[in-house]
Amino acid sequence: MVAVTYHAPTSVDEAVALLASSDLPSKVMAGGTDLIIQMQKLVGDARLIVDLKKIEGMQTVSIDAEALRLGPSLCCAKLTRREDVKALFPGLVEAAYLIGSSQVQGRASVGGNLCNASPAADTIPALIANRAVCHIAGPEGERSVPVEDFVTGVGRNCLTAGEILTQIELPRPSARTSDAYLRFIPRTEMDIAVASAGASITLDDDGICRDARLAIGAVAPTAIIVAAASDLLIGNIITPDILAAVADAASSASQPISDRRGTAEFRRHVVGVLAKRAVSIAAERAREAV
Amino acid sequence: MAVVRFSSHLETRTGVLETEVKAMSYRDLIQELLEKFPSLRGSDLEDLALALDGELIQEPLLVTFSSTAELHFVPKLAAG
Amino acid sequence: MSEARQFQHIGQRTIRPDGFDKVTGRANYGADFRLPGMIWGKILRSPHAHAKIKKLDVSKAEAHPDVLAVATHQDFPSVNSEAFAAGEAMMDVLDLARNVLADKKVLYHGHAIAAIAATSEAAAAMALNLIEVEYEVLPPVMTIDAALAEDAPLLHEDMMTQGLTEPATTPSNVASRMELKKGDVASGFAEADVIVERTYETPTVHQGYIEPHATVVRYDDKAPSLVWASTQGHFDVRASVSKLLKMKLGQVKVIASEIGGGFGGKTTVYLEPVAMILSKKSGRPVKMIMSREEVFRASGPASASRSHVKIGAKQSGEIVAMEATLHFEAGAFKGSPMGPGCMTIFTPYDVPNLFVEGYDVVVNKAKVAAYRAPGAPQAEFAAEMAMNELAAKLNIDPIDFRLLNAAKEGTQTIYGPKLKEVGLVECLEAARRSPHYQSPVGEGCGRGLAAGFWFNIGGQSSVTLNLNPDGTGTIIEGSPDIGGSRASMQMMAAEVLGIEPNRLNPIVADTETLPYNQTTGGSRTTFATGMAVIEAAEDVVEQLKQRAASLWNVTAEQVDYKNGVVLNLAGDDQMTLAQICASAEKTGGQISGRGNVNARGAGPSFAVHLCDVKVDQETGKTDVVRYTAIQDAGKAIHPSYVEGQFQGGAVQGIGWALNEEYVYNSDGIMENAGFLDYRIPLASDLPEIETIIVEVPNTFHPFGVRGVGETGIVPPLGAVASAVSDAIDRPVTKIPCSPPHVLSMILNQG
Repeated sequence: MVAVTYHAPTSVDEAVALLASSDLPSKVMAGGTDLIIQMQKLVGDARLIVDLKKIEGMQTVSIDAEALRLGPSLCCAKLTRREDVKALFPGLVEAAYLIGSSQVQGRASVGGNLCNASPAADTIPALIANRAVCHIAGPEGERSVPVEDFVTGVGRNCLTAGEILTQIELPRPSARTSDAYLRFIPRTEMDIAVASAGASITLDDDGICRDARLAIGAVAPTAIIVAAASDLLIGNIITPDILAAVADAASSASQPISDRRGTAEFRRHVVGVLAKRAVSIAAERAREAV
Repeated sequence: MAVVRFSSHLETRTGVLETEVKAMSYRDLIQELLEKFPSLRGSDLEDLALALDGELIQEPLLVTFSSTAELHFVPKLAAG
Repeated sequence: MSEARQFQHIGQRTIRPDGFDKVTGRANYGADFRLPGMIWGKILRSPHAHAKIKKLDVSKAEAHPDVLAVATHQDFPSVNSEAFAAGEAMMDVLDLARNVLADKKVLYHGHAIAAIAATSEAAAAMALNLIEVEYEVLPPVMTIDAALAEDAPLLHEDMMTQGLTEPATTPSNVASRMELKKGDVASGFAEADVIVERTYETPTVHQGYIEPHATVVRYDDKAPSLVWASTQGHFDVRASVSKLLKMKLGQVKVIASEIGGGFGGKTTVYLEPVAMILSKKSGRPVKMIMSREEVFRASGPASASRSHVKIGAKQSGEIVAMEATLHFEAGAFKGSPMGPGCMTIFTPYDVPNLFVEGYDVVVNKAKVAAYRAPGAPQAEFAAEMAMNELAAKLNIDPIDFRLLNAAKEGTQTIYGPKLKEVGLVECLEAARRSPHYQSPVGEGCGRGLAAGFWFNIGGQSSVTLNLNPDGTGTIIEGSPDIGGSRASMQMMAAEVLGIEPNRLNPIVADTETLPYNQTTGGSRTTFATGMAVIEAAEDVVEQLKQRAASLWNVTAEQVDYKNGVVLNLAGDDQMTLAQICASAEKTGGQISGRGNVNARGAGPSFAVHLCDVKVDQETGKTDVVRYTAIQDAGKAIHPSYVEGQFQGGAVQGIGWALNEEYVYNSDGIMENAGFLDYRIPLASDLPEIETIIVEVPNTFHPFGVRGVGETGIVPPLGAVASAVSDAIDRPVTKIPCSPPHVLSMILNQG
């Protein structure tokens, strides 16, 4: 346990200034469901905690003709209750619904899940599949990065000193497009992904795949895009043979390790199974999406 | 006469798996067995529970039985 | 018992008297207690699985202003190796002292080395860093094979295997050997048409009680020292503390808190003797609470095991011989439940030729503690798996196969006595009639079943039943209530007294209020403490009759007691229990009954479990889709709590079979010391566990009770693993059937 200095600024500028000028090692907090547990294990110097939840726009979600704009600190419980979000991004909502327990979802947020940068984070493959863009503010001004470039390693992201994530933007899906997210855990809930897959699929009126994006999680230091899967799917009717090839592509793309949650061999196999199932579900939904 | 059956562990001391006894009480039983089987030690028996006609008795000191009884020495049981 | 007895209260589903406090958070558990002037204790634990302690220097910690006491093994008065009964299991007092605070050597990762009491929990935790320890790290011995290896590092350099025909001459990691036999297995196997022979393995698992160990201790040299503890047996906490610290029993008073689960894991001590040392040295009450991580690393796992089983049968289905060699891990100190494993493994079957040998093996893991029917789930898992495989080879229905060979009244057991009336046949028949067994196995599913046996124990219980002047009363018992036993005590007393159960309030009293009571364990409480309650209530009835007789100026023989009313057989007078209590001051003072028993004749309980699973053939994930637990309760006092015991046992066994296991790294460090990665089943993982209560009365109990708390965890390992075998069409020989394990079996083509 360490001593903590806590601030809850009400503007992005204030937050950035606090973080940029702090003498103490600092941490940004949204729901705190990862941070508080990590803090319990800390010893030594005091820490500065900057809570972002009071900043305007951090806990809102809006949808217009171009995009879904998500306040990074919005808790998963509020996000998963939004039928309009679920209609457009059922896979992302599924991912948010899998984080922790009902109680934890009252605090945990998509932005926090992303910034915490766990290899097993549930929302990241779903965000990558949906081509999410991260908007960042910092001492040097604002910038935007694609979500797949946001996470740089286990527990590491691209934010530099004083920077905060201010918004996650997902382009509005075109017609006959939908997504899906699946993870493997040995139980039904309250667990951490052993392997995961998020997919977004666009079909044309003839059922031919026109766009496809597959990301897999918990099988490498960061979630990874399976580009070979897109090549296999785009331009084709999605057949069992193609799905089997997608599974192989996902397994080949994975670089898993063995740990207490599963062996590398198991993860490599299962991520392929999840990939083909996620693609199949997303395609099924796309068929029904107007 | 009552019948006493030994475990295969006790058999290493008694040389037999079964014997008949004149005793009709636990105290007499122990004395009779120790006399009958010189390599048997008191401690071999005293740490054990007694089963009398299938009824487990953890502390058999005061037990008496009939001449048709079947007796077994049984390890005391651990339990959760 | 010829006819089913009619009961007024027994068999009803009353509201438990402790329920309201527990669901509203008012009940006081281990960590809820505090005393004025209280300080906090924390334990320094070994970072190595096996090491010599070269140096232990606590001087810097002692010098810290926030630190009020430091305890190490040196603070124990010298104790010698001596077996004593603590919480049912025999325990060596020297091993216990070395387990709660290591002496010269650490034997598992998390082994306690020293303890600090400081002004706050945080200060105590910080001060642990001031203790200087130097280790000579030794290679950890983490498996049975590693422990048995010719050149294995020795945990205890003076440990000679006990129980060998020829006494051991060199030390080893095998603490003891046990052998049981009946008939002649060699000639038995010679008659067999079909033989199944396999080796089965089970992992290290934890009891997984929700409440971590917690205690508050206040040493006193003028009055009894106080121990508040979360325990299954406060009288045995008193015995352990007094033995370790050479205090008289009368110098130690133990109060049992409400208990948030124990399952056998709270039948021994970890914190209490250490807190006593800290309190004595600091002069302050000391509170200690284990974290979940400490609970996993340093308290009660259950033995990992390896069982080699061979069963032979004739084509007719008649079993002619059964043979087994069991190896059980004891953890760091001798004393696994290998003995009960040997005694239970084949007891469900009436077979002429049996041979079982067992080995108690020490390894660099926490010392094992009892876990619900200790030893039986591991051993009977092996036997039941082989039984199912044999039934399949003989092409006989597994229930028919078991019925053909089932143990019944008069069956000569391998461990000694012949069985009295038991209910295995009735359980098997109930299983066959069950809606579950009658239903078809679902598409892509597998079905398994297994039987289970546990002895149950009796033992010492003492109860006082006090009546108030208005006819209400208190049942004072000494058995911590871990499964709803207060309600059962209330009902049994009410049955004898013929009054409503809620007129009697049951309380679990401290060690000064009652004589010695054995630990709540061995499924003994409803049976043995129940007998003491019945005895106390019968004592009250006699007193009520005497009081009424003296008021009516007749003899006690001239009155009768029925349904809470004394009747004057010599006239028309009658008085209710409440009326007699109201006039008690006129007839000699207040009324109080006593029951002191050392209960004999505990009736074994048999069970049969049915399990359907669905296995995802692409990921190896197993879902239990239907589960039925059938068990003989003798007589169910409170059916809901009997069903609860069946369901709880089934669920813990399902966890053991599917996902629970200690995962160790190559340094012998447990990698999953938390409920995130030590995966007990969640409510959402399970179907409703269906139950069928079979009642074959135990003739040794006034109401026919058999203990039910433990048998329920015996069959699930075999029932679940057999169902998985069926679903993937490959023999399972090792649990847990975790997804990686099941997938590798599927992919490896059998």
